[in-house]
Amino acid sequence: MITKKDTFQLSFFFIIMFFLPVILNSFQGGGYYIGIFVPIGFFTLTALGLNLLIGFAGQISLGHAGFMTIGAYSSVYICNKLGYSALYGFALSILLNFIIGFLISKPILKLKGHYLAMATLGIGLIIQIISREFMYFGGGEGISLPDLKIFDFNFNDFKHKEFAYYYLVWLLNFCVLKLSLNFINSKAGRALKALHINELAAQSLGINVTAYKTFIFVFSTILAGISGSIAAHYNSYILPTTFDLHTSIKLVTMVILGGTLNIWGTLFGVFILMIIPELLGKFDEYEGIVLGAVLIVILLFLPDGLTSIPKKLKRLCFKNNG
Amino acid sequence: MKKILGYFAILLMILSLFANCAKKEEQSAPQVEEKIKIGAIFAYTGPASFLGEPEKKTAEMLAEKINSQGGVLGKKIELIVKDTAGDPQKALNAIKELVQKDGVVAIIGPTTSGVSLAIKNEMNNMQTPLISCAASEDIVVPIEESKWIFKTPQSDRMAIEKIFELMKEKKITKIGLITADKGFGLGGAKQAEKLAPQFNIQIVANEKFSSEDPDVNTQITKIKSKKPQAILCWDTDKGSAKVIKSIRTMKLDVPVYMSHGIANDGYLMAAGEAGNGVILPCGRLVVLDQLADTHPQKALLKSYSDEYMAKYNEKPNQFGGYAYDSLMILVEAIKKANSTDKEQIRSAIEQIKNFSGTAGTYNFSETDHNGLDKSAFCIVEVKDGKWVLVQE
Repeated sequence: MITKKDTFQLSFFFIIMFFLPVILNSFQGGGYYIGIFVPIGFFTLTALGLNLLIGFAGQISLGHAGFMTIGAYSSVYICNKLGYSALYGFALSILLNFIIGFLISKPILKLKGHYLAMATLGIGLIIQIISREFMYFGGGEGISLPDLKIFDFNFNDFKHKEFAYYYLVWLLNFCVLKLSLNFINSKAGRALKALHINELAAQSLGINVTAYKTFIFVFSTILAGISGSIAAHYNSYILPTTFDLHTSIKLVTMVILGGTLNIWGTLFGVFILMIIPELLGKFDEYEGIVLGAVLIVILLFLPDGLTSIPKKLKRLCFKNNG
Repeated sequence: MKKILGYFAILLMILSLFANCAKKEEQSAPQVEEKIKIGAIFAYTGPASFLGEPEKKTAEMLAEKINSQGGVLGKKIELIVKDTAGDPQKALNAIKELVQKDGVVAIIGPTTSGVSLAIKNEMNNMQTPLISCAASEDIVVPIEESKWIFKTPQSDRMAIEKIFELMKEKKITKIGLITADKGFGLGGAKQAEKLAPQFNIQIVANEKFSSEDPDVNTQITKIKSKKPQAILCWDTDKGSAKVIKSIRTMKLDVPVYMSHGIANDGYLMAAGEAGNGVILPCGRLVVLDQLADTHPQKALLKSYSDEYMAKYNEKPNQFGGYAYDSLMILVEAIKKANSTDKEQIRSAIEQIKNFSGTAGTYNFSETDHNGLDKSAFCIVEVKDGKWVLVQE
């Protein structure tokens, strides 16, 4: 079950995120700053799923941006082409990602290491190319989406639609966080940890390795899909290049930056990678170099991510004292 | 104790929500500012930089000039220019930053049709006027979805009508169509397909090409097999140069018509000798020297051209002209509205009539957010690597 410490952190997190827009709104141009937290929100959603996959199931995926694209285009199909409510768009996004995630997880999760990375990278690229060549969805020029409307509640009717989107994504994030924390502290979570450390040993203990891996993979693709749908509505426009290979790499960097065995770390990772470009000006064409450098430095010097810094410091002090 | 704390927290949350709502109303009240902030988004890097760079330079030059003449409504204007690199995602981020963080009253640009279409919804959502410098008619049509969107370049529909009129005169009935697979090209293809029946023209071949194709020989071979009497190619300078080179390589010997999107020296440079013989409708800036002195647009075009030459030591092109018109129309609207309120500026633009710009004479209305008609075009032919005026 979820630990007391986690409950405390969760409530703390909830209160902070709830009041953040209020604080931000008191600044000049508050809407813009709240607007920054919406992309942070939907990247967190994908990254949380990816964290379970990378950190707990020990698999890697360089194709999650592709699943975000699937989610986004599901919403386009339902809302733009058919004219139904956005909720059906989310439903289709979940369904499609469930089916596609399930089908490809069968062959793909048999692979390990570099091969798995290459295969998922390929899937991401294939999805991107299909969306570019599909003229029905506007091809390379992209396609627009109507306002996000859930029942009679139109998100764009707000003077600052950022408020509505902010609370939507962060509420979802809160739920997924609670779910993940519950999950990793359960029997299944412990099984996954065993799987991460040694697949063979886990298998010999009677853990159904394939089933767990498939479950986590599909779960993470579904989260990516929802996140893609919300992102598309928020931008009111979707392009095949909105979520490209760069996004996939960024997502993996976020997870690793925060620490793979720590769910809270993911939040840090996303936050840092999204906020720094905002503060220092955009990286633009250097983004690839910066992300690559961050990834290498973290993997070399802080394999457990930023959240392991306090522990490391403590150990250093301890050593000096001793 | 815990319960009380819990209730207290919930109460705080509800209160803060109310505080937010109240805040929103306050913000909508007009603020007194010393400067009028105007946003500009152009693709001055990336594949469309040949169009975006003169736009940026023109807008900056013009803003400086307006300020040196005392500004607008007694206030200086502050032009905040952002780069889109032709990337819709960057453009979306840029407009959010301009409107929400910098608080601009309106935005001019972007450079390309694809980007304009991508940010259309968002501009309507943010209720801020946008005066686009891109040509596709879809940017301002349908009018219900373009409440806050205007544009200065001549529409592709009018350009194609003009070309079809020429074809009709020359008794051309079968044409081969080749267009880019992106914004401007796609818009042109759509309009050509729609308009062709009205002029008794049959499109016997309809091919697309991507900016990544090294050449378009395959498409031209296909078109050649259908034996068209003329070719209509729709893209901006670089793509069109590629097409004309392939047409010459494949020895397809029929008249070639192109869009006003190639009317800059970038096309002449990229196409070289192959580029000769192409006929196109375009604005009058490229043939400024050949215009009769009595032509109503000549004085304005000449003053723009001279100022640009003096400042940057290079020839301006029509794309800079679109930026010139966008900013001038916006300034005129602010003067007319006597206010920097977005809604008032928007309706003031709709009231602008008989406004002389570099691309033509603008007559905006509630249903026409482009304001130009076919008279904004002259017909130009490329001869010996130069633009030659055929019909004024």
